[in-house]
Amino acid sequence: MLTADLLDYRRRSGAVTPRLLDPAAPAAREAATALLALVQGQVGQPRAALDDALRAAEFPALPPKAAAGLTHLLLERCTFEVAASVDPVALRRAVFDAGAAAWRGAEPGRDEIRGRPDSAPGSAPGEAGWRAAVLARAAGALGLDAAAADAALFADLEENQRLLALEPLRAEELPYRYNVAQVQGLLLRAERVTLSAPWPAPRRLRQLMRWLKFYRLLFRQEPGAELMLVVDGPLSVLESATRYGLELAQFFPALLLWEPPWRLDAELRLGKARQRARLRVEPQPWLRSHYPDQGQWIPDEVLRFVETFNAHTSPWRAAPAEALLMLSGNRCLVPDFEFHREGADPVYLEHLAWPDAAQVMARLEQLAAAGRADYLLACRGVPAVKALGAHPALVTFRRSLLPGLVRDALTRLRP
Amino acid sequence: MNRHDSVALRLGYDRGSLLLSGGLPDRCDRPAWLVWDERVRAWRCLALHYRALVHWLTRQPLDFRDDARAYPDLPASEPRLPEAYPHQREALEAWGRAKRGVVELPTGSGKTQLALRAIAEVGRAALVLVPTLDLLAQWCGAIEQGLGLPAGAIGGGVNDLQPVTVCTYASAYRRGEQFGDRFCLAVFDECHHLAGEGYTRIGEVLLAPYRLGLSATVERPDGGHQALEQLIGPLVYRRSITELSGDYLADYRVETIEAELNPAEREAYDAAREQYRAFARERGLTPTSARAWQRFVFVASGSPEGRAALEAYRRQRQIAHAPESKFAVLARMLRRHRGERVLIFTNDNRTAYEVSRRFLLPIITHQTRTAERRAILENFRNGIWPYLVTSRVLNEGVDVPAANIAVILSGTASVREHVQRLGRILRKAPGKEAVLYEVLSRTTGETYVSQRRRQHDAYR
Repeated sequence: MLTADLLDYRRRSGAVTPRLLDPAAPAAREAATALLALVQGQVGQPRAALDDALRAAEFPALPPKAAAGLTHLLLERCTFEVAASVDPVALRRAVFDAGAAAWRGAEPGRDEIRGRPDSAPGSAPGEAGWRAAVLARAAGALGLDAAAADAALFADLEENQRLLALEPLRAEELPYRYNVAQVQGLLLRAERVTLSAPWPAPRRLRQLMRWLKFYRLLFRQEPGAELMLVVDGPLSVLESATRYGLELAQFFPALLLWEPPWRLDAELRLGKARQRARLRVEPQPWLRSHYPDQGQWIPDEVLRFVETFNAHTSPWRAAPAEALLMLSGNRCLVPDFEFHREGADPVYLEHLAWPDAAQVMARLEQLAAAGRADYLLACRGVPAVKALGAHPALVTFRRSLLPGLVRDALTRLRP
Repeated sequence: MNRHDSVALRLGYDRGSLLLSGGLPDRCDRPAWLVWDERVRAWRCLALHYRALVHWLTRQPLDFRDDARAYPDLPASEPRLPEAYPHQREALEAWGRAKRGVVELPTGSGKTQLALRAIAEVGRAALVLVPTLDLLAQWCGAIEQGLGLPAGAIGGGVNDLQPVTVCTYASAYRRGEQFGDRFCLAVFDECHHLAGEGYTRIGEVLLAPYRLGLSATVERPDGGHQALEQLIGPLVYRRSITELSGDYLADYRVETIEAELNPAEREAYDAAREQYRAFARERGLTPTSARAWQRFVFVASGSPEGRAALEAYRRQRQIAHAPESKFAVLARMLRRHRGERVLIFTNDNRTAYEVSRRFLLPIITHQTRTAERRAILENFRNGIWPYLVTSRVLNEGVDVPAANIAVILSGTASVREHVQRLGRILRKAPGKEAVLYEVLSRTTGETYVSQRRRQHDAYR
């Protein structure tokens, strides 16, 4: 993820356009190749040497922010290690003990603080000869020589750590990562995101819904001729920024896997003054996801629940839900599970990620208005939800959704 | 349910905000910060507005059930607080009128004791927010000793919620909405931190109707302190170092020592300075203010010559910060003040580590891990390691009553930074005279920097 200072965008009449790199342009390709080679060539070297080499590298054909952004993304893929034969903290303790003892034993200072600097190293405390002697004494107690102790004294500092490895990445991928990170950085500052698309095939819609749920995003569907989903941004009044913002940012590469056409419109708050701005993103060749396209992928937690549920003897069988249940006004319900019993219509269950009493209430009213008696809502039993009282369509749980709770609810619904 | 068809209201706390469920009468004069949230079909506002919202509902008058506040009364205890100084009594009285506001007092003048009195007076659950883990530990000790209550702590891997809890700003930023309804009084120590971008969120998610801000230097150069009025309350009391020194703070003097660059350093300094100034001159840029400096950096970043100019700027600054003669001066100071407790401040980590390496002195920077940091401070406090080097992380908050010498080897022009650094050695002790040495490189930009920070009346 790029930090705020590395975000590069143009702002005109309230509209924000990220400055993306053309991944096919020689400038971007060459910079990515050179940076990868540079970092790879520093494996085994101290971090300070890597930083110096990166500072010295010039990419005149690339905007400085882009070069800094590419570098940042590569550094995120680096693993560093402390290279020392002794624990630097223990070594420092011994050295500072020896240093303090030596200072205590020093002749009281009668010399003027103001004066000419000493011309040659001497053996008075604080001078070079004194230092070597004290260091040798402390190192000797740990079985080291003075030079080894000197080298290991601050080996755990970031700049002295050694580059162990660079997570593999092909040079041609790096500009795409940069472009995606530019959009992700802006989405961290979103108040609201609207996704619009011509009404997709049910399977593709379900895929989108699964991603939204997987990243635990808060969204609602607006009625209309085309699909319109309004997703809360991290800066909406409801949510804390950090974790939710990261979820929204991580959702973006998943969205890039979605079949075009689609459109993302975000309402942003930028800078210290939180100025309002708009961002529009549509599928385009410079934006490419680095997530594997798993097609009609089903989250592990859904599969795990289905497996556990079906391991028990019961007339009910669970399955990941396939259906989308249409309501009036082109709204739809997107259940997570469906439960089948021989000779009976299926029952659906939807897992609400962020239980909120008013939201649960509204959903129950929506189900009642649509006359759906085949739909269960499951959510954590936070006090506000519990205060709503028992409802045949509501399944509340403490930590995780247990099969027994669902079986009981199914029995209540269809005795 | 229609939002206008009922006046039965319920006020709840919902992860950092307040939810008012039920209908409001059509013709009521609703505050602008109370907004309709269609997603949950209820009125919503930041938890910050709890006190104002309750007042407003009561004034209408509207019937409502308050399920938002979840703070208990403090358990019975026997506070053991020392007799208050006159300025502490005055400050508490000024704050107590509205139980909201900021108190600006110098370091060492007893801000913690003042806050403990406020907590005891309110008698309900209180949250103390602090910027560092050192302060967290320090506050926990003060609460247990002063109030006779177990202190809860949130931060540094600890998560123990008690009726009086100390929490770091970083933890409150991440998790404030989980416990924002549990405290009636919020004490913001070093409250200028709250005005930083992002941390304002902490003030917004806490429901606490009573708020007390404490700082030695409320004003921020970026003007961020103006946000404190909304988040905490107005500045209700202020006393300066000069007003309290002698009686309630240690006597002190400030001594400036000039160090010479050696010929090689002088040559390199002049060349680097000329390089960046020539670049600025040619482009009509005079980086004399923060805004002009930003412009200079923006222009310089755009070309290889500009980046070289920026590098030259950094080089000349580094030479001025750490010439050989400053190290020689420091060696003499340490010899002269043998047996005393000396804090050495630098502007950057590089110089701090250079001092530590050369003189084999313990060091604390942002890279020092918690356990080592605690051990170093403990050894410094009890005199086992009487000298301590740091860059900026100990500028504020750490309580070392025995420290009486501060050496500013290098620093910024920030008045706040220097008042905070001076504050480290001002805690009163019998017979103590504190000395702040400011070591400057002669005929360099440091002379100007020194003049800027000396604008504060503490530099008499």
